[in-house]
Amino acid sequence: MKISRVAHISFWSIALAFFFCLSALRISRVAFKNSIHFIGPFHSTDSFFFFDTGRPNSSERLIELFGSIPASESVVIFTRSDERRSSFIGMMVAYLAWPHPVEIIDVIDRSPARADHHLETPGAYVFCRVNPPPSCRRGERFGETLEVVTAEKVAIK
Amino acid sequence: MSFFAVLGAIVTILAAGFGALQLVLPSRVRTGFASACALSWLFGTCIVSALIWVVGFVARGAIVPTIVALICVALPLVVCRIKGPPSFWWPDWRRLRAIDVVLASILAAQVVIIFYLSCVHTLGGDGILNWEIKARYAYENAGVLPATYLQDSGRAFSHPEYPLAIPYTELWLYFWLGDSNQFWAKTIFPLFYLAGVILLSSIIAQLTGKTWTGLVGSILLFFIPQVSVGGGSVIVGYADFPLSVFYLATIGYLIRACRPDVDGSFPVYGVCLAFLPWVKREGIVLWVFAALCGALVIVLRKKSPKNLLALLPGLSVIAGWKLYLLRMHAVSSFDFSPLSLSTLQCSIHRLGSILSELGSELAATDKWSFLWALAVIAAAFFLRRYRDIRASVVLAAVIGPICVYVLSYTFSAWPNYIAHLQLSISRLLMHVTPLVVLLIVAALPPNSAQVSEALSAD
Repeated sequence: MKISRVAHISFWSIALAFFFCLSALRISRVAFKNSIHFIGPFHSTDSFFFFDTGRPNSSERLIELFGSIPASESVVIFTRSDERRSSFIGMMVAYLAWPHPVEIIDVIDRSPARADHHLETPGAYVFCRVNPPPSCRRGERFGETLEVVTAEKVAIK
Repeated sequence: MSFFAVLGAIVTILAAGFGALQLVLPSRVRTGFASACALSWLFGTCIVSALIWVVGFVARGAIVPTIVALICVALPLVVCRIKGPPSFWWPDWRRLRAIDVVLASILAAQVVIIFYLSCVHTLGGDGILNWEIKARYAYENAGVLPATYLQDSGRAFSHPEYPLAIPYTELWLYFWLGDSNQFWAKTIFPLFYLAGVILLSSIIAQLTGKTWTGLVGSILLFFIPQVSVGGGSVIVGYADFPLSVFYLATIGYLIRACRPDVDGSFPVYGVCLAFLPWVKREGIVLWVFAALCGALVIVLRKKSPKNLLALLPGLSVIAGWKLYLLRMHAVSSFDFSPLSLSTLQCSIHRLGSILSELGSELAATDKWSFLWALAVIAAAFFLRRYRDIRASVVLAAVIGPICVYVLSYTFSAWPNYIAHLQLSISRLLMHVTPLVVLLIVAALPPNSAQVSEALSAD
């Protein structure tokens, strides 16, 4: 009885010690590499855009840009599915583009993410890690990876 | 100033939850103060979010938070007036052993670390795109989620069909702050962690009869990387950890209700059960298993069939939300094909690769350490020690949802269903993680005699 008790305690002590040590290493590696920055209404989206474009306060600037076009006009967002960050930033842009209707188009398979709806007149085109066509005049750039071109700047050849 | 606004929001949530808790508990029952606070937080978040949603049908703008705040304040006052002042029991500090104090200090330090990590980390992708997005859009639309958002297929990636417990709790903070704010929105998640560790400690301590096991269980939870720092963890603002806390409370209080000498646990089980589908869509799966376990307890413990009425509120929540989505013509994301036998026949061949991926996931020590290996060993100890319905309840509550989640990937509509699984399975497994910790820690005490006899006494 006593031996089984000692075996029980020893087994669980060793098992939990291994558990704690292995986890502590992983947690300490991940946990303390960040520090507080961008405390504000767009704390998270600003951080994501900063990580992708290197530009601070991108959320407010994007909202300002989308605010300059009528709410009924849509925002067309071009992404590429072979780059995960492109799709992610595309969705972040869609989040900020409210109340405009949005359409996210994957340039790799050339189809809208959902093709069962009819969009209003596009008011802006957003290129997330996608090069704008040469026919577009230069729009508002956010670093090297994100560009917003309002419809009036799109010159059709 | 923002800090005090957030504090006001939290206090009103706790007040509403406390009122509801006192309402469902029998008058003579004394609850632990810490457990009462934890349950008040869980109840409060769901009550406040549901109230905002319901009041939003008839009012807009400043009237919505005003009515909700009035109810939050009035509820505990009215309940105390009707049922008398609440009765708590407090731990006797003089009887605490040194080991309990040391473990409690470690646990407190872990909670502080979680608060810190929550501040330094951003909301995760889904934290913004699935949850905070609804709070923000509702705030900008006078406190009501815009119908255009629900019908917006361009934003179907944000799962407009997901329920509103988490986003509307964030919305409650926004009402108090007077603006939407991604930084302050995160503060609710460490509070779910705090509520989770309190409940885990209390449930384990009552199950094993030892305070130290409860504290070890809560400490163990922090050391699961997927819970503390992983993708979908407490600190990134996803609904999975809060859902796991609700599930822990549901099953934990059901286990308590198995004992004939514990009163007031079944009503708490009933309320937590009802809230599961309101926290996340997968809450319906957890609701089904928790309801089946509840029915089993009612039958085998010869409880009054009236207790089956505890299943009705959850059914109403599921039906009400479904009806609302139908009425609003809400779009759904196309993650899964419709359930049918023919679809199952076509895709059943996927099961082999899905199980293989699940095995890799469970063995991923960078996410789970040795949690699942220990769980298998602990399950044997647990079955030996608790030779009664409690063992069946805990094991069914852990294994059942995992089986359904795994099977669901055979219906995945993603072109690469393995990528779908790899992206989401860790978060789904989190739903049962606190219960797995309970399973492991309940196996720790070497003396098994007293616990196995606890139920056979009556």
